[in-house]
Amino acid sequence: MNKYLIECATGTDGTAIMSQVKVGILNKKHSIIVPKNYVAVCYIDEKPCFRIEPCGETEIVSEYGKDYLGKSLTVFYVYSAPLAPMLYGFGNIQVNNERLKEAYRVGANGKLVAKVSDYVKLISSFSAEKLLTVDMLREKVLGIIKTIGVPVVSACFVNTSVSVFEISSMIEQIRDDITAKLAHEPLFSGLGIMPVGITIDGLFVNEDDLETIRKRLNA
Amino acid sequence: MKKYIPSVKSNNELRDSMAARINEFAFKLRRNNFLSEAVIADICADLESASNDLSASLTTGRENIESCYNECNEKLKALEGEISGGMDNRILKAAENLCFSVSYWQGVLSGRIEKRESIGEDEKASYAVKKLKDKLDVLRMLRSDFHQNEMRLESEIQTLEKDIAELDEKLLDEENERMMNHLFRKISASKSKVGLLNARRNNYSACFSIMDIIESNVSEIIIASKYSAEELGKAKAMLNIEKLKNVLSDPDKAIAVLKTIEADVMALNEKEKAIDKKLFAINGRGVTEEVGAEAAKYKQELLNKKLNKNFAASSVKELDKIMANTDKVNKTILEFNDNTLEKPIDKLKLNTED
Repeated sequence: MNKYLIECATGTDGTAIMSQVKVGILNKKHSIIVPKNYVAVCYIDEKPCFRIEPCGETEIVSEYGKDYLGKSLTVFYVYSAPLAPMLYGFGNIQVNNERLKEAYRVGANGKLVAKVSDYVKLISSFSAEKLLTVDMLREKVLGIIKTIGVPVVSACFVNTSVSVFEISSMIEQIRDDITAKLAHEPLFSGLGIMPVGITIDGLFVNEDDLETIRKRLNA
Repeated sequence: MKKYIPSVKSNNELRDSMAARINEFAFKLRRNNFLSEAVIADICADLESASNDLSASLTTGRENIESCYNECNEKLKALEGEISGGMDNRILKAAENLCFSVSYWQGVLSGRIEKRESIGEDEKASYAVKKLKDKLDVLRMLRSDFHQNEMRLESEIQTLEKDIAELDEKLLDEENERMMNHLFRKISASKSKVGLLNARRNNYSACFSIMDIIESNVSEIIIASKYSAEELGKAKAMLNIEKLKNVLSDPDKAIAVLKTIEADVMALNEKEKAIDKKLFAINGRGVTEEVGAEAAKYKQELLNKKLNKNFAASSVKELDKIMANTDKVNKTILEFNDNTLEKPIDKLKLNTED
């Protein structure tokens, strides 16, 4: 096994969004392989220096310059294609529709597809991790989606003329609003990712509230 | 100067130097007392964000970013020039242009934009034009100097005015006659100083305006010299830098240049009038194509069909609108007919009472 060959240690199916390889002192013999859908971000002396697109075995010094000989190299393999969909959900949003005299609790769930937009920001946000998976990213993203999604859903249902039994007709509007807000959310872009698409699988009303409203209407 | 060859090191150096210059500019801009706070805050936020994003972008070492660097350089200089002018809308526009150039650079570095090296991208300007452009740069520097001096004096005048206000307060509270005389002497001296500095400031302001007009005119002449060689001669005559440098002590030297510009503008106006006259003459009856009777008849038939279709409309209001539009169309056709056809077509009598 070539000890000077730098490779992505984890699988290349996209479950690992980022993985860290501490190379040590760079010398002429070091070469690198960058698999498809990944980008290798090279840190020289702990500072981001250059990136390497997908390639076969390539000698680093001859390809990228002798200026970095003898310096410390760390390579971060970052997944550049859209990530696996992340499930999200939030609920128990209190809605009081005075126009239709309906009060109920509503929730939503769906999937978010994101993509890495800024390699350096992503690496800085997760600098302590040697390996970053979709699940680990999802934990951070879930809070942001909830922060954005809850006000959007509440605002949609307040004083709407759409009855609680027809709330599914609001899915498109809620989806557009959440997508627009996510695109400009600094907390989201601060992680170095950008939303590619968001789906809302369903809007759900608390069963007891639904039953109460139904009985009142049918009385 | 070292020739630029794309590599990781050279690309990073260019990137870092531009990011540092933008940051430095934004930092100094915050100390500017002559622009509105809102404009400064806006621009600084945009520039700092652009600079941070640029610093974070990574090269592969293969991208040729020399033209990106040069463009950002020019836009930064343009922004510095507009700051001297003090007009908010121009400053915001210049800042926007700079941020766009920076984001274009990022796009090239990230691989989203493929920058191709085009041969002859920069125009091969003649030696004469290059010399004139160098002189124009000197003129711009002079203009900027006058503006800096004007701002500096304005700052000093404001400080003196505050001193005078402070001394006035002290004088009002003072009871001791000796101290009152002393304070009054100080106030008088400060007021004289304000008058003197104000006169100097006005001098700089007037000279700045002269330089501004000359610079605008000469820039246009240099562009026009691409099409007419005699324009170059005009520009050369106006860009007598030694005379312009002395304008501060001898404004008459610049006034002669202004008179030349005025004569030039009058000549341009005359030329434009003559060209317009020729154009309108060409746009007369002899040259335009006449519409045949068949084409006009066919158009009238189409109109009639449309009218019949529109009469079937349910709402009277809609109908009235359609009538008004059709009237307009008919009027146009009648006028057109009067001018071009042999037989005039009868007017359509529309009954709107039904």
